[in-house]
Amino acid sequence: MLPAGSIASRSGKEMTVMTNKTHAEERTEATEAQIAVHWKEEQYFQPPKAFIEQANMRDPDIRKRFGEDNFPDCFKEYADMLTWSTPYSTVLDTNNPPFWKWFTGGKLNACFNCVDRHLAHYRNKAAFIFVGEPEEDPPVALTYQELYVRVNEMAALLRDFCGLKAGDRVTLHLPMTLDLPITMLACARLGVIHSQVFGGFSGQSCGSRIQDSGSRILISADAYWRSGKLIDHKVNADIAVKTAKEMGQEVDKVLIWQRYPGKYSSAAPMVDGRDFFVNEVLEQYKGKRVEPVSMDAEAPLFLMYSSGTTGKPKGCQHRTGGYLAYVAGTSKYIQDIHPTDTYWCMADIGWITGHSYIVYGPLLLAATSVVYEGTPTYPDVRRPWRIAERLGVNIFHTSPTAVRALRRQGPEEPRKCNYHFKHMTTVGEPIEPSAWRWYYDEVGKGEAVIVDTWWQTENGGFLCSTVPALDAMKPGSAGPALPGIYPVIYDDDDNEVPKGSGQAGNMCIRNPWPGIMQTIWGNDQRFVDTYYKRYCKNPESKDWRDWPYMSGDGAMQAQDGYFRILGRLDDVINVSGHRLGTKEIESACMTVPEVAEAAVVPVVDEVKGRVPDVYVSLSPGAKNTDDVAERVVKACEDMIGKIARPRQVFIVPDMPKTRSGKIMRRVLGALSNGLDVGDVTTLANAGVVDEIRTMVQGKQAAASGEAKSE
Amino acid sequence: MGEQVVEDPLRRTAEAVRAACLQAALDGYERAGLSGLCEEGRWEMALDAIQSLDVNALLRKLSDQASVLP
Repeated sequence: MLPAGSIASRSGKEMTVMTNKTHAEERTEATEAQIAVHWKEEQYFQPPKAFIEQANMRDPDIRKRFGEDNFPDCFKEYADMLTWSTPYSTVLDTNNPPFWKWFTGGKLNACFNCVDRHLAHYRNKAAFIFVGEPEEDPPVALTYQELYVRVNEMAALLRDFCGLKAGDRVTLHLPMTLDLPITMLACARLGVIHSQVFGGFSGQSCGSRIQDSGSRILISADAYWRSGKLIDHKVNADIAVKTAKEMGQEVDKVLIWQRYPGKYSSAAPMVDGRDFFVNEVLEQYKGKRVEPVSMDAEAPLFLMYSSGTTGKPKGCQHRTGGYLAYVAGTSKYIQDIHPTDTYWCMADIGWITGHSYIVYGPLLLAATSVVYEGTPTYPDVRRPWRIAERLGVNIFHTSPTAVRALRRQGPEEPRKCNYHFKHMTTVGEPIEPSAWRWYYDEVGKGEAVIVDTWWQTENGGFLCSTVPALDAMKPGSAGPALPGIYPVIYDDDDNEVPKGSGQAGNMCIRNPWPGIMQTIWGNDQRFVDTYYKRYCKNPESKDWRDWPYMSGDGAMQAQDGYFRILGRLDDVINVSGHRLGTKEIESACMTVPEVAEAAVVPVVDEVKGRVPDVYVSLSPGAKNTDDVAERVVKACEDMIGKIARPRQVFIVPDMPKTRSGKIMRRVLGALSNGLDVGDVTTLANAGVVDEIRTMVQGKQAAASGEAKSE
Repeated sequence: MGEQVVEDPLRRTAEAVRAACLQAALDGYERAGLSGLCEEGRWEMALDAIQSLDVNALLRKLSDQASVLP
């Protein structure tokens, strides 16, 4: 039931897909997502009493307060967590859908809100604690006062040495050191739009983002530690500048932070007149103070690029007022951050998670945020728990991948360290119930709440999660929507998929929210086409209800209202880590002369993850000789490789099709995986489903019998 | 026999490049996952890791291996 066009929207093909629904429909449906639906429903876990008693959000009526009757004014509650230099006059301006404007008329400065305003009460409290990867290096605490000083000096450098002013873009390609948030906040102080490229990305990727954003200043570093090695990073700056130039964007200056100030740790030479060491230039700006520039609420705060693998990367443009309000609200109510907390998000600031929930969210709430440079498992798998113990971390935030890695390599390690989390977060992908339970029992020691969050780069902050003191946790489910977020799941025929139906669909959000991106940098049409065109009810309408946001992720909603996120809707089968395009396999099948149509679906395999099943129908008059299936298999192996060998080839009398002629791969996927095919009454040839089911079951029974006899 | 002598160094090079690309992709994929990226971001990172593979280091390694071969 999932519109396959959504994956195309993330792979840079959305112009075609969004303007040609028929093409989108022909793509492989979310059979993998359908499979993930069948994690069994889990029991509920209640939040501990001790957590509830101290939680920021304990009002059981919060979802009513943030309900549609109070929309959009409900979000004043988040905006009021900020300090505005000029109060806003309108909460939400919908005059130019889907380019929503939040808190219009208001002015504020992001850096002031994160730093200056805390000096009165928290001047000598740590804003950040930096933990370098070499364990012999002691953690470095940076107080709010020290952060204020360093950000001001850096802002003076950017303004006076680089000539940057409000609205200019600057590209950052920095690793996980304190230089990164200092630089971000210095930009924000001036109203300069920062565009941080993940430090692990190549120079080429950085260069393409420099070109797209039109940056003429690149801020990078000489080196950083990763898995015990001092990685030469300056070399990437040179490649980035070269790449940008080849694409038509000149870079005037390259600023290099040194991992060890005063010592250059790269083999790449500095380019005279272009490259400058930040710590040397900063000497001229010691003690300088820069007034924070009061920015319009709608002024862009930063760009965060998303998905450039198969298309031009998208610069997600985030606004100042709405974004800050949303991350402040969600950090307070969902992350339950208090100023007294020591909070550690193990993600990288180079991703949106780090922007929202390492830098801006925690600082807006005057918390202490931990920045860790290296690999979680270096030098050993107990490292994260030693850090948590030493720093007194009480809120922990990581990914399911990290949870799995830490469990695999050291299942009993957390208990060996004396730390106590009150709250833990997962982000990035769905977490399976078994990993969730280890996280809860071992990492959280049964004392911490877990929020399993779902959101995207485009969204600014969480969209689905439990409110930790109010909602029970359910392993494998992200929980209900956040207060003020009204999701809907659509099928590919634009019907709403009801909760409790067991069916998956395309996760959409019916309403605007303050954290949603403004546009794709320099490409408004792509923004509309990618996220809004598919389910827009009336392009002329100025009513937000006619403009649902299409996330591109698959989801299902259980009867209790909890969402289970199923990941991207993909036309790729992952076999033993190899990603095979279904279209490639189908094309290989079509080289067999007798084959008229081919459809490939993924089947769950305990060892390989997924394996392809092939369904083919033959041309009229073609004979179903014994060797057709063998030649289909050989074609797949010869043209793609043995990894693409189909588990089974089914030669069917006809493909199940809609009345418009679209092959229903969803139905075939369900048959191959022994799942319910759902409602097939609308098919043009529903009768063929039973024929194919009989064929599949017979072949699988035969295969099972052969396996047993072996 | 003569043909094999010509092919072997090429084959070793090709296999070394393949192994290095595969390792880079797996490392990139894992690193992005640890950082909380979604499947699509991890895929992007894996490809980017191949792109940023240090070819000079690989050539040095191959050269060193060749020098110790009989």
